[in-house]
Amino acid sequence: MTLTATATMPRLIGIAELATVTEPDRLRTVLGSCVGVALWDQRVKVAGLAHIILPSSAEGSGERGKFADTAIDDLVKMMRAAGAVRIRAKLAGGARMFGSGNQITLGERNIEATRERLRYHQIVTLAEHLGGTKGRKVTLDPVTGALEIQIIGEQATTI
Amino acid sequence: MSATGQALPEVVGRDVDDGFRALAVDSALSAGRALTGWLNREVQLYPESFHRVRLADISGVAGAAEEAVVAVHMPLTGDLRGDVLLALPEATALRLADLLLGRNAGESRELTDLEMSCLQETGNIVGSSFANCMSRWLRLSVIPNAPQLAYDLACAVVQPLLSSEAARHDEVWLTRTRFQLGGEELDWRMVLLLAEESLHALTTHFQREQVAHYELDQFLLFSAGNATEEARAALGRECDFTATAVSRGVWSDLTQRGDAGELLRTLEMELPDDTRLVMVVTDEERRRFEKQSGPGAGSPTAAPLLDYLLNSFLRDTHRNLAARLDATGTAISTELQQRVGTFGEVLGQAISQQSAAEHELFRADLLLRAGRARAEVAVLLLLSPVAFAKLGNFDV
Repeated sequence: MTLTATATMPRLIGIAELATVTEPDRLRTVLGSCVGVALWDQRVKVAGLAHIILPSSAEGSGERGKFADTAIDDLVKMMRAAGAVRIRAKLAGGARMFGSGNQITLGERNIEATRERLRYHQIVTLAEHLGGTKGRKVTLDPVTGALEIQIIGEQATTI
Repeated sequence: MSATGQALPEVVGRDVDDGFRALAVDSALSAGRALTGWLNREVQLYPESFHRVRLADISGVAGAAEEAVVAVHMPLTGDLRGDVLLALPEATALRLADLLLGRNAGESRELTDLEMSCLQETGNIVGSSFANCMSRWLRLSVIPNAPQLAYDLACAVVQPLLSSEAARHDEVWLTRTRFQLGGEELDWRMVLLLAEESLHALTTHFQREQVAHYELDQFLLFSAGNATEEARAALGRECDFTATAVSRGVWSDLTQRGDAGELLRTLEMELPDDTRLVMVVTDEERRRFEKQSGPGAGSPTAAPLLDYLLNSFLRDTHRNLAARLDATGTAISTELQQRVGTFGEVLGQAISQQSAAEHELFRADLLLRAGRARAEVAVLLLLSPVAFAKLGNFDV
């Protein structure tokens, strides 16, 4: 990784957004009850990140990036268009914010729907950092595929 | 990201926007009073209008996406559904803890359970004040639920608020509020997010209110004009009735006048569709009017002049209302009733048969002049949902 690459501010992905990058860019998002899906191809060194808020497009309407199924479909398509062949996944998020409420169900449903759609695309999940009660700031590097996770008050970890 | 969600209503019309603004300002005043009591320092809140925010842009409403904040989330349920979120950056939260715990500035250095508990109660006070004020204002059930606390990233604390709205829409409606403490701007962020169906309910409410205000204003002006002409003809002297704009509101706000032991007199009229009109004047005002009107200013009947004039106005109002409601009304009293108490108490007696909870309450103030004599009279109109709809020409 060059000095220029590490000094570049990661691109911030908002709620229901998705994007792909190659070096020297990186992608970042902040996850609470939402789930972040990071895709990566080691050979092409292209990475993609989706910020999913709901499990299924069958339960709603609107932007495809909101839902686990349509967001993953679109992100896989974008990865393939960028030359990716052997795509691998990492997942983070799905926290139960504020410690109670129906986010338990929603977070779990988001996680399950995400796993199911990745299986549908025959994408292997290399690592997960899911659940809990704290938000996560995640940063994805397309060169190494590393997904750095920062939680307030804790040491940063990489999966 | 090509598909679009079900469209939310376009920016609300000016009249309705004014309604939202008035509601937000009233709610903010109420929350400001509550916070002033809680902090023992003058706190003022400045709300924005309701506006739409894209999901992708909402991460910034509680602060910069990656900023650590103390957030209190209060879900609102009942007839109106939504969320109140109060978010404070860590340094601001510590300063607030100093204030609440009677410490010197800078003494609070970490957010322990004690500091967090104080901040949670602050959020509870703000959220409950907003909910209670909206409930009173709209006469709808707005239930503040137990506040939940988190110390986390600004973008993360917003996400639980979006789950139900995001399924159907790509944007949400919200209003943000600024805070000032003793004139100094505070770095507090408060967001009130309303569910889309609640927004529709509010829009309908404000539109109906606008129509009803217009109709009632016209109707009272008409009655005042007729009564003036009739009284001038009957008395052969200058006199007039002037009705002020109608205000709609809750019982306690519209009836706050008069001391508990004050002698009041009322003229009451009942109409079909469970509708009642009550005119209230203080006994002191009535005596002063008679004294000021002087000798030779008596009414054509044996009744005192003010009673005669009020009856004249009542007859015209009765006739007009009956025509508008397509019904024949019955004036249940043509003599002024003597009642003692506050407006609220007296009206409670006057309309005890009716289910005030479902009725729309309007108030106008009437100024009567006859020569040098003047008297202020409150006109209160209690309309059933059916009568309200007939008057405003909309469906029940």
